[in-house]
Amino acid sequence: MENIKSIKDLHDDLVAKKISLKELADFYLSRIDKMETDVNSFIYTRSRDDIYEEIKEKENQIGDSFLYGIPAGVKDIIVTKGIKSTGGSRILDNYTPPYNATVIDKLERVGYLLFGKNNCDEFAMGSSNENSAYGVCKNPISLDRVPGGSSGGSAAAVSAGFVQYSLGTDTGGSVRTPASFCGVVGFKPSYGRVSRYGLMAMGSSLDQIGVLANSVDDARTVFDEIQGVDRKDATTRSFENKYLGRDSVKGVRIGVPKDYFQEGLDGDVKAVILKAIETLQDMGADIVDIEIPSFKYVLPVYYVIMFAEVSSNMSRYDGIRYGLSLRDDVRNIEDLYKKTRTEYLGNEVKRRIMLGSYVLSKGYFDEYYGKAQKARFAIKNDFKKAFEKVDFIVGPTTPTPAFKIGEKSDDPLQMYLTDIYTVSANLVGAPAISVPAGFVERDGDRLPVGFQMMANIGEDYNLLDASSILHKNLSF
Amino acid sequence: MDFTTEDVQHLADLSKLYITEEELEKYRDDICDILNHIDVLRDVDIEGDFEFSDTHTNIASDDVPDNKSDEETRTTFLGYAPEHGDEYIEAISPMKD
Repeated sequence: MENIKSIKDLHDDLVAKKISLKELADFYLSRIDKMETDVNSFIYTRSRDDIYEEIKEKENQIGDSFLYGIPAGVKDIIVTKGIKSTGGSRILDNYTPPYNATVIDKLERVGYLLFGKNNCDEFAMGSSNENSAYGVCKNPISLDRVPGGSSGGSAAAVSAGFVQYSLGTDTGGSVRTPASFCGVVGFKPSYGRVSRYGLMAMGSSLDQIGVLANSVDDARTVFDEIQGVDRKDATTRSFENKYLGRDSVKGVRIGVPKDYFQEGLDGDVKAVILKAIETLQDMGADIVDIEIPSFKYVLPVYYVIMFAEVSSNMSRYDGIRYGLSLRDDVRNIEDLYKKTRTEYLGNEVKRRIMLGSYVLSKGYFDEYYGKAQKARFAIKNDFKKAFEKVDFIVGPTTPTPAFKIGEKSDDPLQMYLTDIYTVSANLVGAPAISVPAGFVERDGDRLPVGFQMMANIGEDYNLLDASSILHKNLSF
Repeated sequence: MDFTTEDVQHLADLSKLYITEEELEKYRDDICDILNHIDVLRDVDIEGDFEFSDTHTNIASDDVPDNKSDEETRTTFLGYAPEHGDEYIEAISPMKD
């Protein structure tokens, strides 16, 4: 692990006046100046003058919040009042929201410092960030590779040192996959922990806002501020799980599903993951082999449910109420809908809307959507049973390291398989985190590998403790 | 799985999208691939009762108006519409052809 200062250290330095807000901002801004043109991790970057002006207002009142004045990114799919929010889509190219997402209100209250809106796959649909209408975001570790998706810009910006942390969103792995590919930490909280109000909906029963950061401790510092019940999102709730405050993993039961290590997993990635499991064992954790009998259904179930929710959520982009509208020579309202959507939505979004229309259509609904709902319940049960035996379930975050730009963009099914290990947490509603665990060599590039830990629903803080202990003890 | 370009055309129609002739085959192939992958679901046989929302109690919250006047809200809202009059959003007649 490189020696990067934590949010709390930076805060201490600010309070002790070892560094000024402007000096801190300048450090990140100089990195943006140097590398952002190549990386393309922002759809919108705030101007230097704008940032300096905010710093001037902030300078004299450095409060007790750790996030005060710390440079941050926000995935462009989370709405920011008065700041253009496109969700990575052309159809919202003219959209400057009149309101803040709840997470943004919360961050504003503690004086966060926004640097810009991070690039992402259009409406979070993708595993590589190649589906953004604002250009591919590149992996700062190797510029001809993808940063992962859909929160690729958030992960790339943290990895490149453009911001200290960034908010991402995770519907099937969209925080954890880019974290894995870019060598940073990606935390997806339990469903219902963080308000989705102001997050442009993709798969509403799966979407959750998460954090990309350099360390588990930083992710936790941000999570502390954004989580909580919100009247504006009826799926938020309180969690009564017992906090154990672990300072070691001694005696902790680590479940290793054998299905995670079958065909499709890259051999070098596997070696890194097994070594991390060994580290846990060396620290006194009990390694337990477990089975998830419904694992073979995980990806199909995820895709059917997500397609269905996408097709319904995307119907709001109709060219009538907001967003771009194509009205030249339209014959009737049907033609207006179709022309607008055809012109301004990207291919992956269109594909998913059509697949959603299919699985929800009369005659196929029971075969696909009905079955998927049942199987989702069976998957939840399998994980519930597994968590009676173990505290955490671990494995690779992704089957391969970051792949080359263009390598999978023509083959949606291959792209979908990237999500094989991450989607379970979303189907179950459980928290999961990816921490950097090592590197593999590919064509002369040294590419990071993420290690995933998942915990039972509501065990967010116990997961953060355990993964932080592991992260600090991994040497590579 | 058999899936024709006509089927794709029908799905596009349901989805309020136009698909060009050139795009049709690519979409058909991609959709076939994906449907073949999710086809295992059709064999799923799960017995028992299912509670689809087991952990969430959704309680409708009261709509509390914010302190903006109706006028201000209306102006803001209308301002986002591609075309609008003083008190309405402009669409196009469904009858027009």
